[in-house]
Amino acid sequence: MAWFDKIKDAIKDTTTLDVVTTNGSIQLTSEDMQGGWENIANSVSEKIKASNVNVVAYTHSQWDADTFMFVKENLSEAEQKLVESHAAVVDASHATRREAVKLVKDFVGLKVD
Amino acid sequence: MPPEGQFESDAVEVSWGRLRNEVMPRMGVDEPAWTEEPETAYRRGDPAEREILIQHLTDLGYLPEGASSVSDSTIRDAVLKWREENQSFTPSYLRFNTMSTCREFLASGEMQRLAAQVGLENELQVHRLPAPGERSLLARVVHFRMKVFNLGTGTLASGFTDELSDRLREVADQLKIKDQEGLSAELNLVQQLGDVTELTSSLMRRYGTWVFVFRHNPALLSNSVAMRMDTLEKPNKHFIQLHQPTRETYERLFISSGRHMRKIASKEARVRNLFGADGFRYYGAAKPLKWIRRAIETRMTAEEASEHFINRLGLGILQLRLWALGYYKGEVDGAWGPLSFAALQHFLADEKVEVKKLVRALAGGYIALNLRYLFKRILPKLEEPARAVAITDLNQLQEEVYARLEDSDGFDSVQQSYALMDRDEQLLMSNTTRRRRRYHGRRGIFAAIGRFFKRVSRSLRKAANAILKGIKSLVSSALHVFRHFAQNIRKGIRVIGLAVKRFNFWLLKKPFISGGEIEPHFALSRFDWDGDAFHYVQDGTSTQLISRHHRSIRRMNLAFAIVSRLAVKAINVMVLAVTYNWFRVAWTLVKLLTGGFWKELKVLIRRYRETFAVEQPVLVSA
Repeated sequence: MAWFDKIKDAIKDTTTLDVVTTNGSIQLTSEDMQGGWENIANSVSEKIKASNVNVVAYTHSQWDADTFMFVKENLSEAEQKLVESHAAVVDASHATRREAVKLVKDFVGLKVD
Repeated sequence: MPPEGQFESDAVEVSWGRLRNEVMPRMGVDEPAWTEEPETAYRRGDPAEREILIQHLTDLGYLPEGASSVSDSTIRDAVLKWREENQSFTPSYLRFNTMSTCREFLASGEMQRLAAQVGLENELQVHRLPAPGERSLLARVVHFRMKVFNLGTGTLASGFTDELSDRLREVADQLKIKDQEGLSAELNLVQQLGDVTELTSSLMRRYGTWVFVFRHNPALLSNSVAMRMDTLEKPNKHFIQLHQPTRETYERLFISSGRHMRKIASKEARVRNLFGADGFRYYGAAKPLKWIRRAIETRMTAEEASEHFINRLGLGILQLRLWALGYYKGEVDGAWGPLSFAALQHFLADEKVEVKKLVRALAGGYIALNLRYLFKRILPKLEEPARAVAITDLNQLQEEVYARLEDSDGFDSVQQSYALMDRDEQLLMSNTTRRRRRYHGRRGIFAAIGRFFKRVSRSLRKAANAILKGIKSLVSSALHVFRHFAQNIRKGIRVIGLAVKRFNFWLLKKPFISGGEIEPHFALSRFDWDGDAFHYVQDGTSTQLISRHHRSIRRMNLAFAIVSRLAVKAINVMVLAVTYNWFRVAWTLVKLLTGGFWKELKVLIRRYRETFAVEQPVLVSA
């Protein structure tokens, strides 16, 4: 039933929206900064996975608009700015999903509005 | 009968010969009765002389009016009192046989009474003249003229000095005045200095221009020429009193090519290119082709030009003419200042001529003055009988030169040359300095043919210029339209590029990083297919960088939204076009342009543009 679980996970993943905002202090070497933008992005991603980063905020939204949001306590002033940044990313995520759905709908010929 | 000569009072200076020959006959005034020995005649009790004397003393307030009988002692006391009150008067110009008090008083009183009677006080006021009878009259005349135009040392020396001779030669050389008609160049110059028109023509022939350029002095900015340039405000007494020019505050006069100055007047931006930082150019008498003129042109700095005698000479001519008309009250010194401009403004206001037509403010602190047009306006005024000022410095000098040179040996031709003045004046009025010859017979036919081809060539040149101007305007407009489209196309390409970039991030799940490449801090966002996002901010990252990061994401999202909508509609239309369903293509296009799609698209475009605003909030919510 592995394929059934995969479909179930895919549907669940599609109907939910997860946004996590973290911060930390990963060390980038000169090798990480070479090889162009793509290499830098991969290096940074790998470093983030391997490092201990702090979760500042986390937002989980379901398809019926149920929303769960986690915010770190005792926020410093800089971390409060990160929460605002987190809100901006949530909005951007919604916009991305909306545009993606809209694009798919337009291509399959459904009425957009 | 007194000898011919001049006398002077504190109020009136006049040439007796001129008074007797011109003013008295015109006004119908009889010549006063003179006796050889007035004192003895008075003592003898001549009733006519006594009556005239009593009348003068009464007119001047030295005797009470209506006195029935006046004793001789009263008359003598009144005369002595008048004499006492006029101690400052220097009778050096009196040339009477007998320097008696009564004679002097009679002459002065008669002149004042006459002046008051005919109302010609202004006309009778002339400047002090060289004393007649002196052997060095010509030298004094030359000195005087050189002083008027600020060309010499300014001293009224009574003889020719080496310095004066050298200066005359130098000025004649610079004005290109040559020996002609038996006259040396120096004497030609002296003659021209006595005739403003001739001098003007020489100046213009030499420098080929009628446009004078003045440099504005910032020290007089508040009430300066440049500030008052666009107004027809008449000068008032406060303006003149408060802003009397001094040597330090005069604005300098420059001369440049009229042709170029007309170009400058139309395009002020060329001033700097033409004049350079502080210099200017001027050209010779000839007007050769443009490339030749460029080759022979000389260049002077403004400082050098300000010291050039031509500057003062040109303006001196203008000042003299305005002075003769009663507008200019200052010295004829060839220095531009508020008084000069006030006189010019006053004259133009009376003539109802807009200052803009004659004087134009240029960039770089320069103004241009169309002297030719101005002289055309001034000259007819000088010829009007009602307002004619017959007695002026130069006219008087000219008259004296007439009289004195008749008996001289080497200057007869000078007098003959003066006969050319009227012709030159008319030449100036005829709007050209080029003397046109008329031919008859065969040469006349050839001349007519030549004039015909000249007119044709001029018409062709005008037409070609008009066509070139039209083509230039057309090309300029096309270039402007092309630039507009090119700019929009560049913007469109940028939007498409952003949309592709965003699509790439979304499709390949690539993280979007701001900073990092050039600074140690960075922000990272990675969006999954279904919109899940991971956001990481390095410790110490500035708020500005985070804000820029979100602004970029927002810009990319909007670009993606715009492009995706357009792409879908474009594909839709293309599919319909491929199937030759033209009616539905047209209908779809109409719906796109008139329906909600277009409005929605405009909203997206507006929001996209807002992301480029300078004042963006630090963090923007979508």
